[in-house]
Amino acid sequence: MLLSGDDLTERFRRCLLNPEDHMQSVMAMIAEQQPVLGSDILLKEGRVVQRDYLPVYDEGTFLGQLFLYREVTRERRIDAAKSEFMSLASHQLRTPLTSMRWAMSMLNRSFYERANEFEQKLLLEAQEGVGRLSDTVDTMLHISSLESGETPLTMAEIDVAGFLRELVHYVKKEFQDKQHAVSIECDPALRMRCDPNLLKELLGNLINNAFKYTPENGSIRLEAIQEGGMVRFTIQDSGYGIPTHQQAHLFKKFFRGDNIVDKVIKGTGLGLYLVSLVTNLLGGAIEFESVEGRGTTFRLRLPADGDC
Amino acid sequence: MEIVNTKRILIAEDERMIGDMLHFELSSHGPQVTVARDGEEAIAQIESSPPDLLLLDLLMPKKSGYDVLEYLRSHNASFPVVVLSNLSDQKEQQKCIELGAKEFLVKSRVDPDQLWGKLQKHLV
Repeated sequence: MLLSGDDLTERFRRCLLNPEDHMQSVMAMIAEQQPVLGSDILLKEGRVVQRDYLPVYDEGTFLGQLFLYREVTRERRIDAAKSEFMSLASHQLRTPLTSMRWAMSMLNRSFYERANEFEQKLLLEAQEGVGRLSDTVDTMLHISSLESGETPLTMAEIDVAGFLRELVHYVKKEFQDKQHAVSIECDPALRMRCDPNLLKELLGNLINNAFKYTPENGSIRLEAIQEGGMVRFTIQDSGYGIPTHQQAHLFKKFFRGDNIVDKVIKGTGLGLYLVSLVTNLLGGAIEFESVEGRGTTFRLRLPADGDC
Repeated sequence: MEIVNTKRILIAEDERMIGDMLHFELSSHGPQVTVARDGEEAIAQIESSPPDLLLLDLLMPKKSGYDVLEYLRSHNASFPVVVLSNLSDQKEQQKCIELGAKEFLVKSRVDPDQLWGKLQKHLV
């Protein structure tokens, strides 16, 4: 059966949960003529469609509007079930992990001195392993909580230069042996509004990666400047870099670079996924350039007034 | 810290091994430590003899940590409560503080040997 455009529009309208809101957003997009991709539109009976809008041009001549609608109800339900499972599983993992971690820590204190060299190695290995596992579970749980959208943002004014100095101080202590040269370029008067915990997580992860994935005596450069309504952060290292063929997957869950796995650098592969998740939550954007063996530069833009 | 040695700490924790480890760890620093294995037992112990500090788990059978906090608030209990839980969402932390807890500690982020240091400041 062939339906006219008007019939189709009317049929679609009747399915919408909030037809008025939808019409308003469509009119706004048509007025602005800027591509808007991946908006979720709620339909009745819990259905969801995803909308992409593109203004179409042919060599500068405007041809018309393209709206693409795709039903994603099933995908969204799977996402929700996955997040719920992650959260439940992580909680179930946490209790025995706490017992193990505490038991190892107490055993280490009582027996380490009395143990022979090999036993000492075993004790440390077990303690370190359970600590890493516990960190991974914590991160997974944190990710599923962010993904569920239940984390409220708490905005505060941030002294950007001071914030960066404090983060660097903290990360530097962890990587003392690496002897990196670190520079911070930031106007001491620069202020922004942001959620301090999420910002710490975001920048902390990027700075931590710069330190971790750069061989000894490297250089790390941090910069923050205001650009219109945004603050642009640059985190540049002289490290191992990311292999070109893997760069498209950098922000995916459990990503690990081929070139660092054999260097026995430990990581969960969740850090940059978390970075992209938090960047989105804060209404920002992130991009990077990387040359294997030369280093990586991340550029992060966040709204200066905390408007996400 | 002579004063602290006469203090009494009540631990409410349903995981037997965790409760035993907490008991071992804290009593090694001097205070008198008892363990309640669920929220109901904790309330019963508080009623018969209130401690100087309560270290409280949240997810427990019979009565949860939240129930215990609500009970303490409605009875105007004056001793400090420190929550020690595996739940780590800000929502839960906020809720506990609103219900009167002095501090919220996440189990996976605390080492047993740091715990005494963290509790001491609430005991003085």
